[in-house]
Amino acid sequence: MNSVETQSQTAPTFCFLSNMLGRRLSSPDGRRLGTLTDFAATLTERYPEVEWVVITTRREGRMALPATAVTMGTLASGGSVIPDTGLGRFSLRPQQFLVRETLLDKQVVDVQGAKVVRVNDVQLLFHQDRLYIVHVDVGLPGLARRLGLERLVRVTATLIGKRPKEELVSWKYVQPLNETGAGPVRISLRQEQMRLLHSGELADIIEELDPEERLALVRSIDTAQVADAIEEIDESVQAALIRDLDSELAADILEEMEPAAAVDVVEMLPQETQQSIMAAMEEDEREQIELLSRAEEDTAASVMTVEYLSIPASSTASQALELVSAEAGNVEFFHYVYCLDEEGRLAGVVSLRELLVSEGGQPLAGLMRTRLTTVGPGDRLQDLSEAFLKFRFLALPVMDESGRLLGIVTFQHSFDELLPHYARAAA
Amino acid sequence: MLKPSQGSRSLWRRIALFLAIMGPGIITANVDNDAGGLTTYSQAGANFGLSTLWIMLPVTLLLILVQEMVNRMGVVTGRGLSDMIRERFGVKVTFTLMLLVLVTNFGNVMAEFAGIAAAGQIFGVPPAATVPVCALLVWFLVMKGSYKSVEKVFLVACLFYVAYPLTVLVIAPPFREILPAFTRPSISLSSAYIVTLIGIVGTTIAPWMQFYQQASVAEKNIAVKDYSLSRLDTIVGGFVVSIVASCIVISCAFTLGAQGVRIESAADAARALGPLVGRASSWLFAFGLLNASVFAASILPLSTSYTLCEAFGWETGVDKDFETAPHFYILYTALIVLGALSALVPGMPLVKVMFWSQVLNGILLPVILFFILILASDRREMGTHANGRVYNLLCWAATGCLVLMSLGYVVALAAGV
Repeated sequence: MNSVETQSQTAPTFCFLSNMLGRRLSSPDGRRLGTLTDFAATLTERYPEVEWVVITTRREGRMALPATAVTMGTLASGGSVIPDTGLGRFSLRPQQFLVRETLLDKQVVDVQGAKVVRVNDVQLLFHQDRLYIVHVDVGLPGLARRLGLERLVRVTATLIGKRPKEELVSWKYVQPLNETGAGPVRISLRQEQMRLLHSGELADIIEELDPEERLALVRSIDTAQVADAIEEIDESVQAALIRDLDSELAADILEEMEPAAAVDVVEMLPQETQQSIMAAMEEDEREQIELLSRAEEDTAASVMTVEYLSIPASSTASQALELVSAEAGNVEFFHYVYCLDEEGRLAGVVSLRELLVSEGGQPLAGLMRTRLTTVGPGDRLQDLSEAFLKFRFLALPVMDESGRLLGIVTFQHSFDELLPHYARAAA
Repeated sequence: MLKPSQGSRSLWRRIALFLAIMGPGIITANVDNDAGGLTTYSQAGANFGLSTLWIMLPVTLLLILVQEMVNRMGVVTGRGLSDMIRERFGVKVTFTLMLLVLVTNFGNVMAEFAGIAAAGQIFGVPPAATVPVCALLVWFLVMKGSYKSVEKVFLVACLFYVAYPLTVLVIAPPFREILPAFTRPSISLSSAYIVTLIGIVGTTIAPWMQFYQQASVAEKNIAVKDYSLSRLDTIVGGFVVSIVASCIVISCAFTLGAQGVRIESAADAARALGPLVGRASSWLFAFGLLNASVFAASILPLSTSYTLCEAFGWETGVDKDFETAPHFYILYTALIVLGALSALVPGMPLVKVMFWSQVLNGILLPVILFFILILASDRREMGTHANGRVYNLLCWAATGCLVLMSLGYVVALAAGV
């Protein structure tokens, strides 16, 4: 016992999971306890601490032994004789997970490297009487260690004058994807880290994952971030992902997406899925999507967006400015505010610049432009491009026959679609 | 598109959906009629006439049974076979298996380039020209293409197998004699005949096919409820293979077989057809061999690289650059370059290479089938789509048959019968 106590005060030691698994354990009085098959730890934002040692015996199956300082110190330093106080039945507590079952040989997201990797080994740190998960090993040395070829690989590497490249990913950057353990463990700890990923990187990761891993990942991160990423992933994966999600979450994600992109996704879904997702959507968003999806190709409606700022024409300039500053974060196009009469018809347009130079209390009626260039939802893209070229507006309002505002076509948003037409219109 | 579906349009919708889902099954099955397969079928026809035709139907069923399981796993789990094996059976089993897959598939790649070389010679082009050109073509196709464009090229390559039915039409054999041969087993007990029968089974179901089909099905993100269409793809593929194989047997039976010509390879068959039936059939045969070899030479290295990278968690994919996915690019390029070089080495015993690659296939197949059966009947992975008890029994029985035959083939080959 004395030797163990001195060990626990020595410098922190690193050890690998693969070196500990399979170790035959016995108690100080010589009784055989069984084979070490796993560790149980709790998912926390910091490095998870090992709480139980899982021991498997042929007769009793899986048993759990509390991770005391003595036990963990012995195991970390390669020993196998441990006290069996507290050895009992094994069952996972909520939020607890099995280290080997969840991680070893499984895919995880390396958030820092923005890629999907397969775990060859797990590195643990014994520090101040406790054993923590600190790294996952995804490199060749880890693979060699698992195969029992570590020495061979190192010798070969030395012979050719190279050192085998260690590839350890800090636990801080690991997003596990397997949901195992007691009850549904939502692995939603990586919010902060995941936010560091660009939507393009997240899109690449989502594409690379298996369907179940995709769902686990998407459920664990912010819907707005998922929505941005989904706009960038491959069409077939988009459809598959939204199809497999529960309609509530799917609807939430679609609502966060650019309406035109959401329509593209919805149209790829099977009929029944479309209906259940649409039913789960907010009224406004559903109407927008239905409107856009009815649009015929090559018409103004097909390049139209329904995200714009509108205000009653009876308001004042300062009210309009408040609206702009409140909504500028949500709406892509905030350079024009559309003024509507009591019946919802377009009465005029006022630009942000005009609002900024106006006096606060000034009514919009005197400020807005009332001679407007508008287009109808069925107008051809060619007509649209000619209007943009001629008037140089940043956006054109789309109105139905009764003068109701349906949406707007912005120069920027429609640029790609209109490009071939500009060439013709300019000629 | 948000309108409710209408009855009259739903048939067209189904057809459109099938065209979108179609691919993995048909492509996998066709690649299987590669240089090695063509050789076996030609020999069967030349040496035993129509008497091996009856095996085609059972072979088709076996092929469909096995491929259906991996196809189902791909659709249901969306994961590749090597991924599933690694997560289920751990790193040691996977590593050993991957080593075997690498060696076996490399043997097959060498055999394909040998086929390319032989087919080129029939058209009067020396291997020093055909092999490098085809290797470059294959390399560029995959490196510069996307999954979708590559699949389209492969589907077109499937169409070229029509060369074999065309040969049958050129030869115009008496069809009345042919049909009964499919349904009437005429079993002879000569060892050469039995080895040929086993050879047909052995070359038609190869281990790489399971990895390739499952991976490419998984990549297509097919909805589980559309699985029946994906299964149709597998079934169609199975029948196309045996139709092509039958056409080769028939062509050789009525020409080479009738004249008592002995052949050692598919290229021999093409050459021998010339003086007997005319140049057209000889060229059709050679073209078929060239197409099959190029086709298989592009899919095998690709499939091998994907399989290995997936098992070890290395980045894969033709849409990544070298920096991101070095293992994938190095493996893929090395397989093609070394495979092509081996066909150019003077004095390389190409017939032997083909022979040994078949032996390796035969050894590896039982191992892979064993893993597939375990995984496909695992409810944790497959849920309600796991093999049922009766179906599982059928699959084990069929697999047992297959394993016996394929091991028998290995033994027979090794004994030099």
